[in-house]
Amino acid sequence: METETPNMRIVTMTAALLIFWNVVVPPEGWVDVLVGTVASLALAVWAARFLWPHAGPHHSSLHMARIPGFALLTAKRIVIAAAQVLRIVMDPRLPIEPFVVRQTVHFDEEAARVVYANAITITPGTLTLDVDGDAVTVHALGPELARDVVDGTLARDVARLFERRQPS
Amino acid sequence: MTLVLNVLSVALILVGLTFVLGGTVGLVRLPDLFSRAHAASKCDSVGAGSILLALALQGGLAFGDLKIVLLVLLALVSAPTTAHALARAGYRTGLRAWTRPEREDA
Repeated sequence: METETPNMRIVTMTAALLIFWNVVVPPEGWVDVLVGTVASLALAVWAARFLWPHAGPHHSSLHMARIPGFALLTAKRIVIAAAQVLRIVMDPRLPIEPFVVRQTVHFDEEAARVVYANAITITPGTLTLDVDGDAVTVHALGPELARDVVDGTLARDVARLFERRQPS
Repeated sequence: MTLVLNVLSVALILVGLTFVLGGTVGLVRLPDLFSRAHAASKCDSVGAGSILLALALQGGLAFGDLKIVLLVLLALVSAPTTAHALARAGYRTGLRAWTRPEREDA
């Protein structure tokens, strides 16, 4: 898939938001449809101008094929993360050794950086504190829990999905 | 079929309640804002997701339940984003992370 133009991005996003609106608020008259359309369009224009003012992420068909797998892996990580935290807080000894680590991870795509920061937070025992350019500051509940983040496994997973240059 | 859906719904609600309870206990027991954000973001999103899925099952898997599935996805995406926003605000205002004090016998 080629990189979308700003106008194409507005149209795509308006359509996606309108579908979301129609599912969550089933329209009962023309006023509902009008309000949904205006709200979706306004949000899409705002996002294209302020949230993603630069070109959108480049997705080849290979990247698109990897999205369902990444989504499933993410869902699995969310459940494991919750179970890990549940186990920790219910343990009378409260087995945590919190620390903060600052790492440098380079992504060409802005979207990859955003997904990486969110993926860290939903990974068991880690939380993104700050993202400043290529520097990512992470809070971890313990060294063992932060292994995938510190050794770069998670960054490679995200790069495989979003980057033109594939990680070695 | 109704019995199976009921059993699955009750199981999901119990799982959800366990995670929500865990998140709440974490908010009380964990020592600082950053650690508490782990509990709030992870346990509560799975807890809310389980309970919402139970509601979808109780709805009889109708098309209207798509609304609940969308809400589950929204909860899964918004919880880590909110936790990050809170933690970032704390970090940028100079809040330092709690670390376990060295033991005297170590």
